Amino acid sequence: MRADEERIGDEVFAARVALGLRELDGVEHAPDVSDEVSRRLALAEPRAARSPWRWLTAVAALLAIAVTTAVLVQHNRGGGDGGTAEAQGQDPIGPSGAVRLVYELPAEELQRAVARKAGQDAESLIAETVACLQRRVGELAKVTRGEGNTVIVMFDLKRPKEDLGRVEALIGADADLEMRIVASDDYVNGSVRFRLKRERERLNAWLAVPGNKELLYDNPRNIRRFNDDEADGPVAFGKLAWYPHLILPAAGGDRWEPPYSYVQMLASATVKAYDDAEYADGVSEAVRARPQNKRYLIELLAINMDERHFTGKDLDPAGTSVDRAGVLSFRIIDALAGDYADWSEKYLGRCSAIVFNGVVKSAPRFESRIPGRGVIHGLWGEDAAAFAKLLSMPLAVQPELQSRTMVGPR
Amino acid sequence: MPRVQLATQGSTSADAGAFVREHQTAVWRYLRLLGADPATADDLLQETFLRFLRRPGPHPDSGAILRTIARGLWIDRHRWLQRRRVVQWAEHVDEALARAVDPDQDLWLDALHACRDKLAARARCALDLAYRDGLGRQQVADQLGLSPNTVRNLLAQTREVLRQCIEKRVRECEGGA
Repeated sequence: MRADEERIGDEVFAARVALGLRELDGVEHAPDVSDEVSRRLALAEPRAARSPWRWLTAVAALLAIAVTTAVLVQHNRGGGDGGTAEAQGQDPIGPSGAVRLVYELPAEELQRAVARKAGQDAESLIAETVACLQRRVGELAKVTRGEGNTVIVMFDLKRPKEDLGRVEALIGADADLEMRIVASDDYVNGSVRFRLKRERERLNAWLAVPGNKELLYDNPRNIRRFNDDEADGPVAFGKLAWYPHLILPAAGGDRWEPPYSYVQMLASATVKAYDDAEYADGVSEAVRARPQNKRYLIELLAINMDERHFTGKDLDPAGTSVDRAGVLSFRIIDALAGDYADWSEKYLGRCSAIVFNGVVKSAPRFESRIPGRGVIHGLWGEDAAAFAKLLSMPLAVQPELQSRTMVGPR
Repeated sequence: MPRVQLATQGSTSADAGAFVREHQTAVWRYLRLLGADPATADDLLQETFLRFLRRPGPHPDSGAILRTIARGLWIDRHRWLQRRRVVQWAEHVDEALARAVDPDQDLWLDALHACRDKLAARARCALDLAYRDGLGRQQVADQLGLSPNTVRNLLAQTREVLRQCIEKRVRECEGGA
């Protein structure tokens, strides 16, 4: 008995020595969680007011917990999609140590996603997001559910360091796709109507302000500064917005691709953010000296924000593919295919704008009623495959990186 | 050592921050000693404070309550079949800490630091390799050019020397305090 106590005492002592040495030598140390705890305390939801419905709410909550538990039990038995290493008793930290990325799924975004996806609760959305992130990063890292609304990504340091950048890019990548109608003078919806000549004048005045054009070339999405300016932005503020279209070097590299201002259907909705000489002289040496992803001229296309539109979340992930030429084919989910067909029919002969991450990629003209399928041209080389991959693995909620810490080897 | 006593109801964010900073290292060390890996300890550390700070009323012995919450969270992390082992180990840890004059382990850590410096070079090297770096007996033996059995005996002797040294220093500090 005494020998047992001594052995146990020795084991505890050895454990204390091991941890003590690691702390003394700076291998690991206690994190400072004070800010995070204060933040989470401040975010804590107020207690629900007492109401006759509270018992009903409690029963519903218990049922939800029971269902979630059942799902988790199934998940732990290996039935879940993208089962986590921790849940399956595997150690995600290799002998080389790991980098631990903690992402948060913002509560407000989760609530919005729950409202959008009837029949799904926050728990199932988080589980779906974890599984989707695991599919995105594949073998590069292990994705697990963290506490609350957090997701933990463990990157084993035995992998090349550059893979960590790939993991972060894959997780942070947001394939934000919008399909909208290009604004036109004849659009009328109650009191909403557009005067494109006045809109162009307003935007040209903004571009003439020193620094604004540079701002745009620094990041084309900075056009939102104009769009969000109620005083000096679009005349039809909130109903019309300008989106950048990048004119790229044509094949061969000496000339530019044709701009939208050359397309009769689009000319009145387009404003150039470059001088005519810049276009006419072709791709200059100065442009060639820029990084490849900065070699472009910018023009801006007026988009009707009042009319219905479709987004990447309306696409069927299984129906998204890309061919060798970089043409991305998509299919609208069955529930909205009829709406999309009606929408395309309403605008027969007009142009829609396909916008990826805030930049117009193409502006195809509706030639016929489209029964929920389409193609997107104008993607940059490998981007097409990357976009297709992201669209086939859409995230209901975009995670936000909260912390990046090194975890010592076991 | 002064302790921040927090009445959680009506406490401000600044109070909470100061309270967390005061106790977080001790709770984290405790979680690590229970067997939580660093990442899990980080997670449970936050959760421990959130649970504590959401409880009403003042807490005269915050450290003990924090350890109780942390221990509960750590045990909850394990499936039923693993819990017996986890609970047993937690009991051993608690017994060891109950005998310690400073459950936060600051004194103990200072003593470890001083006592390690007094060890013979070979003993210290073996200690660092085996405990700090987590190498197995064979690996330590390879690095030191010793047999595994010699390493086992060397580590046992070193632990004993270290234990006596630490206890002596902690007693002295206790007496001097």
